[in-house]
Amino acid sequence: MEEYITLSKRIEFSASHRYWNDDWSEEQNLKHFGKCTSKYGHGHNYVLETTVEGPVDPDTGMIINIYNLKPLLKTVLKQFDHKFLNLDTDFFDDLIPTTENFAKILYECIDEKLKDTKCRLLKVRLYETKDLFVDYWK
Amino acid sequence: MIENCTLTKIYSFSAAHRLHNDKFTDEMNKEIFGKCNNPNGHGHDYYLELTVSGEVSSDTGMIINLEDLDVVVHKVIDELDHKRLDVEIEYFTKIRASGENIAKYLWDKLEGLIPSPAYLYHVRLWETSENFFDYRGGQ
Repeated sequence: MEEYITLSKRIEFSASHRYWNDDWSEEQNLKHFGKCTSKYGHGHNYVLETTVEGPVDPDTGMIINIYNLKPLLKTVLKQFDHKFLNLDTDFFDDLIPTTENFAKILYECIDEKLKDTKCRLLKVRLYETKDLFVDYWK
Repeated sequence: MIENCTLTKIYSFSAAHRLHNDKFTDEMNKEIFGKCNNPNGHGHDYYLELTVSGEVSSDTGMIINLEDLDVVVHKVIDELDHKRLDVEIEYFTKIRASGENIAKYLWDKLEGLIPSPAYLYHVRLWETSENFFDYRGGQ
């Protein structure tokens, strides 16, 4: 049987967001998004769990050196950490920054960064709170 | 359909149970179920990790509205909350209230209640911080 090992790294970051659909009336927005429509946003301590898979390098015993993975993830998260997702990033101009959409954006950003490595992004798990998370994979 | 996005929310409820089978002698029950056979029962804080999948709506950016999910999940778990399962819940008077069977019960109850287009994908039931049970339906 082929060896199958994954490595996961967790990183916490903080951001604020607001749920609002411009195509809807205020009433519709309130009905669907409730207090998440609050005008100036609200925040979370997100935890991003990134899982990669790949061959274990016989010289290092590693799929990827966490010393290399961590700064790569930090570079991705820098554009979101301590930001208001709706206004301070370009990703959510036409996209509501729900956990589902945010997980997809993070997956795509990290996947792009991992292209020059030997490992493959398997999954991202984005915790919005400790009892709510979204998994995204391809 | 090939899913590539799931949403998981964790709920909790507290309940008591006793593992016992009338078919067995008292001695056998004690041997098989150990301290879980204590005649007056014992309890746990159960944690239900409920995972749904489905298309992410372009209008809302969501697989499911969390308030809608909360309503259906609470409908099911509130019936169990602060109850002695093998005495007060009819289903568990006939079938052992083990972690496996509770996970299956929760799946069966919830599967038809999740508002479409979302659908139930996975349940994980934590009985203690050291034991959990996964169920994804009778596939």
